Amino acid sequence: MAEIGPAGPLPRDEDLLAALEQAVENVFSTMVSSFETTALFRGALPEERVDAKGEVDLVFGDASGVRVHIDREAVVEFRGVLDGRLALRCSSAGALDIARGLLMLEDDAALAVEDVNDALKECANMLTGHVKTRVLDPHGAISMSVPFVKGAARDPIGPSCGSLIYRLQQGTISLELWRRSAPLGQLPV
Amino acid sequence: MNKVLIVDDSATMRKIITRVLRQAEIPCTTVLEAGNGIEGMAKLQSDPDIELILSDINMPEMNGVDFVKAIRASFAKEKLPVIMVTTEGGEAMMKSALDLGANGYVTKPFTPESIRRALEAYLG
Repeated sequence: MAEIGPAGPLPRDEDLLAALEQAVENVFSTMVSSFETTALFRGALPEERVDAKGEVDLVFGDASGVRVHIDREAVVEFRGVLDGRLALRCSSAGALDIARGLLMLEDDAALAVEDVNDALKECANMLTGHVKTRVLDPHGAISMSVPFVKGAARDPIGPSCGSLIYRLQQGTISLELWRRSAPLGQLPV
Repeated sequence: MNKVLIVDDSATMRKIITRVLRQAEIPCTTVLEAGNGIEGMAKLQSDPDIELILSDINMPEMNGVDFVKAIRASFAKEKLPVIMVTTEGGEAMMKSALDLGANGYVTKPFTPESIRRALEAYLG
């Protein structure tokens, strides 16, 4: 049964994931060059394929597979009519891909860790903003935290709404949306 | 246009905006940067040649809304245009900034064309 908010039924996991997919298309095709915006995987990750660190080892029907190596993640929390989190999780190579793409740098350009983290945070922020505007705002007040980067460790805050996995030039990224089970205190600002 | 001030707590976003200003062929000779509203006010006080400001909204120390409020205490809207650069989802804060005297806004993700459209009226 769908949860009910002040403006009717809250978005389903499928709605949230579709909005995130659209956000990727919008944000990455506009601001991150050289990025394949068709997801390799979309939906609920099979638990047996995800380890404690959050690394994913998927095998597809045609026997091909993808290993999502995770070194760090950029997170944005949201709270209001629906509490949850968007996490952009990637390998070091994937993080560099995103940062170089945003800054339109050469494939081998060196970057400081702060620049890479900054780029991941900006991406997570833009993606969450898109999802918020498209599917959360119509249901009532909702606020977003400032984005932050944390080390890789799978940190379920409640039920997963699903994941999207994309291939970059030199790595992969996993985008995950979560609903929060227990209320979050103060939003990180 | 002589000098443009970019105020954003993300160094990456400041670099991106600087690059996009060049791509959009915005005729500014110097781009100055600040990491929040307090630093932005200090730049304004030390450099009277700044002619336009592009500011983020969600920043530590002094956010974009308070920054606009501080600017308008000293500079009229028509003398020093302030364009807010914000992520989708920050509409409530953006409305506050516009109510307090921001001249316009650009939403991230942006393109050189959308930046140019937002600045067109101030290019002289």
